[in-house]
Amino acid sequence: MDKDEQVPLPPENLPASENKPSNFFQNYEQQVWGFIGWFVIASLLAPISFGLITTPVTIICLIALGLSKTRKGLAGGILLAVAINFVISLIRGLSMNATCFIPFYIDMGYF
Amino acid sequence: MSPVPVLFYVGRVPVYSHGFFLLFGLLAGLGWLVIEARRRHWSKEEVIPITLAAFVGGMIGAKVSILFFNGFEYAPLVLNMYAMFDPRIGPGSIVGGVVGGYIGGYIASKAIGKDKCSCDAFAPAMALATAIGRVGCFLSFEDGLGKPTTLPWGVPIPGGDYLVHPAPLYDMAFNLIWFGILLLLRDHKWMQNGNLLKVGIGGYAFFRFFVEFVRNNRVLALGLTGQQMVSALLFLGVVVYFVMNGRKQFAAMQPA
Repeated sequence: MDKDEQVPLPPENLPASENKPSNFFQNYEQQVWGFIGWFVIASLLAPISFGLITTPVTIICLIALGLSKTRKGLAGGILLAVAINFVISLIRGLSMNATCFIPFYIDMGYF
Repeated sequence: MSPVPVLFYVGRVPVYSHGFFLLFGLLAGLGWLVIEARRRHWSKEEVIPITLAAFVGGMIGAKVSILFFNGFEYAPLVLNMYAMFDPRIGPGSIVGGVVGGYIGGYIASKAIGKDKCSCDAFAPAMALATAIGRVGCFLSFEDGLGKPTTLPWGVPIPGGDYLVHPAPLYDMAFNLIWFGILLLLRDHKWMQNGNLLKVGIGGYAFFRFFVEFVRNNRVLALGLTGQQMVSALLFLGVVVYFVMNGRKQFAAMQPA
């Protein structure tokens, strides 16, 4: 065998840095597209659907892309975008009175 | 006793008890998760995506579950993106959050190609976060606290000449005790590879089923609330899991 020829090692013998599970934060380009794409699509969907399909679309995209073989990065970007929104919401919640999903016995007409 | 919706002021800005203890509880849970993850040598390549997915799954699950618990008339508040991130509407249901968080973490585990579960680190963190978060529910008198009672620890509510169960405090007390029990169990050889998390969730579901009888949630059928139905399913699911897999798992741990 040629001295320079590379023989692939079995996965268990790879160095630790190469043997890590692939996660959806490794593909930075997809991640950026997922992050920006979610804001763009969610903003477009909100007015045309009265906001009623943004949450289901987000959930379906997160599950489908997260479990796909080649588009995990997009799911990572969407996950980051949604998580940042939730964190901002939690921080804003410090100075706003929350009524934890207005109990069903309160008139919804108020909202 | 009267509600304490505003905990303190920073300048002229009020800091509300509900939001404060919700955020404090989540941060305390996250802090404990980091401690546990380090102790278990859980790599950041796994802990970050799984935690993020569990957080988002939990927040979405808490809100979406309201459709089942309170009725479909809440769809505009649950499915609307702006309402989803509106802090005035509140986080939603803890039971729904637990289910959503578990599903989110599970999908993330699959997405990163993880075959074994290191998610036991979540179990005590969840109990701690819930215990702290419930203080805010109590101080803000969320959902009117509980049903009327004549027990000596009943709490008077504004505008009523009767006492009610301080249900959030029951939840807080249970979760503090449960947190301690989970800490005692965390190094047991049978409580690894996701078993501690399942026990943690099953234990809370068992408790929640009974505490729901003194809470003000909507009864859906058979005298049970939606939270009770989901709690019963969660508890049964955990029991079935251990019955089906327990013997096999525990046999594999025995020395040959």
